[in-house]
Amino acid sequence: MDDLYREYLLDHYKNPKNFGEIKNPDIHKHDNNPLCGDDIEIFAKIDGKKGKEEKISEIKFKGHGCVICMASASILMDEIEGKKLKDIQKMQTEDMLKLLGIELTPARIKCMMLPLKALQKGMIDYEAGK
Amino acid sequence: MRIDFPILNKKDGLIYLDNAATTQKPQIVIDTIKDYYENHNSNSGRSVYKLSENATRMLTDARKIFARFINTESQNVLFTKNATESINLIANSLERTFLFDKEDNVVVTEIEHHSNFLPWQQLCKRTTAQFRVAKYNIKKQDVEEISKYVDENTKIVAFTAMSNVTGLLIDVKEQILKIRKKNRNVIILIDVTQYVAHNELNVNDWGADFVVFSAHKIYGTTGVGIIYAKTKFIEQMEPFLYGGGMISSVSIGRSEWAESPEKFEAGTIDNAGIIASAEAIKYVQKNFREYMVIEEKLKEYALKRLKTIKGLEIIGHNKKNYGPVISFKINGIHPHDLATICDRHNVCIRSGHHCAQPFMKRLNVPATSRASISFYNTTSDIDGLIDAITDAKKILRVK
Repeated sequence: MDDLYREYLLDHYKNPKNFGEIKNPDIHKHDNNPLCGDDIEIFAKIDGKKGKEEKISEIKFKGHGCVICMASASILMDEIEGKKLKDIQKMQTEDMLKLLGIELTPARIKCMMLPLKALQKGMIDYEAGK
Repeated sequence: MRIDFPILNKKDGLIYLDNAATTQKPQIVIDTIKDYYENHNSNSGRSVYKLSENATRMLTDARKIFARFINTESQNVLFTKNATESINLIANSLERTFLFDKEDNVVVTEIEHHSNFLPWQQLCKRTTAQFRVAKYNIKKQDVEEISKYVDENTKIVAFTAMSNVTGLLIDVKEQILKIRKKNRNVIILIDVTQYVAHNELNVNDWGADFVVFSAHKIYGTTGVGIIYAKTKFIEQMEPFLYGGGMISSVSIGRSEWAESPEKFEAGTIDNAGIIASAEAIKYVQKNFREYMVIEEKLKEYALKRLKTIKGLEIIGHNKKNYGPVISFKINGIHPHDLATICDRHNVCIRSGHHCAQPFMKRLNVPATSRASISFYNTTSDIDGLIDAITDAKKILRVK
């Protein structure tokens, strides 16, 4: 009936990829969407020369939320493994919409953006040496 | 009834079940706003010309209508922009009038809307007074005895008469009696924002010091809040907002305040909204008891139908003391997804934490779905909700 709840998004929701934890992660960020209760925790390992060449070598997430938020996390994790931090930091709403292949109303864009925002905050913490 | 609400009579067949967030407006309210701006607009209480005097008279009449509705006098009714501002006004004015220190305490409950939680939490933070929160008992599905938290050092007790999350009704009269037994000087505020559209209200009978609500939850416009305050507080309390219309004299060194209500109504208030909202009050008053019966029947019907859905759990409603607000959760479906799919069926329900995070934490849920009923809803609205939920389960492959 609508493209929001397409099969592949539901598959990601029901069987998310990269779901779990990483021990001793370089990035560890917990974030939530207080309005709807979406909640996510991201763990990542970093590889490569310090600075511009640093890449995500391994990434996992835990949490609970709506289809959009959980599918967005699963798809994002799948996409960015091996990507450079500086490229991930540049990602925006349009990139996520393209990745998910859907259109969203403003309220639901927040659900979709939570995983990316959490990761970007985690990367800032990492770069600040926190 | 339903025919009086233009938004419900359009061809799109809107099923509006988010009445706890705001109610729809009857034609008379919409017409009154138009009429006010076409024929009566001027600043009330400021000028001597006929137009302004007429606007002032209309405002005075509106105040009288609100006063009668809650069984008090006009001089005990103040207008604000919403219940949130009403509570902030009272909290700040009390803080400016009476001394609070670390020996004192303020009591609220865990089921409060943030608007009746944060102003008190912050007052305590500023004054070092102790902030006490009466717990919600999960097993009993009720708030613990509020008076248990009250002692001789309690300055204020603030609680809701009806939960905006589950519809739980609190026996206000009984609670006030018990609280006063422990400390007869305690200042008591009752938030009737959810209660007022579904129950008759007699502030004298309760004996509370303050009662607050928003007009938009009872078919009035947004931008209008109401305070009932006992005369001694109207007289004693310092104002909250300073500015135009609330003074008797201003000089560089000092200023004197006007009498109430002006003292508490600084700046130009929402005349059109207040006058139109008074028409809403007149509108519901005509058949209020009948509406209460309709809402009770619709609530029972909704509960009966919701209970037939596998994996759906209703929060509360274990006893009769509930208003027509129903929160529920469904295994495997996030409230946001349910609300989105309901919207595809043109069914408006709320999903989220309902501005009551302490309550949600106690219930151990991040969010719920909430359907809230008004007398203008019908059993076929409820059937529409059930169909939408069934469809959501199908789309999201939940058995």
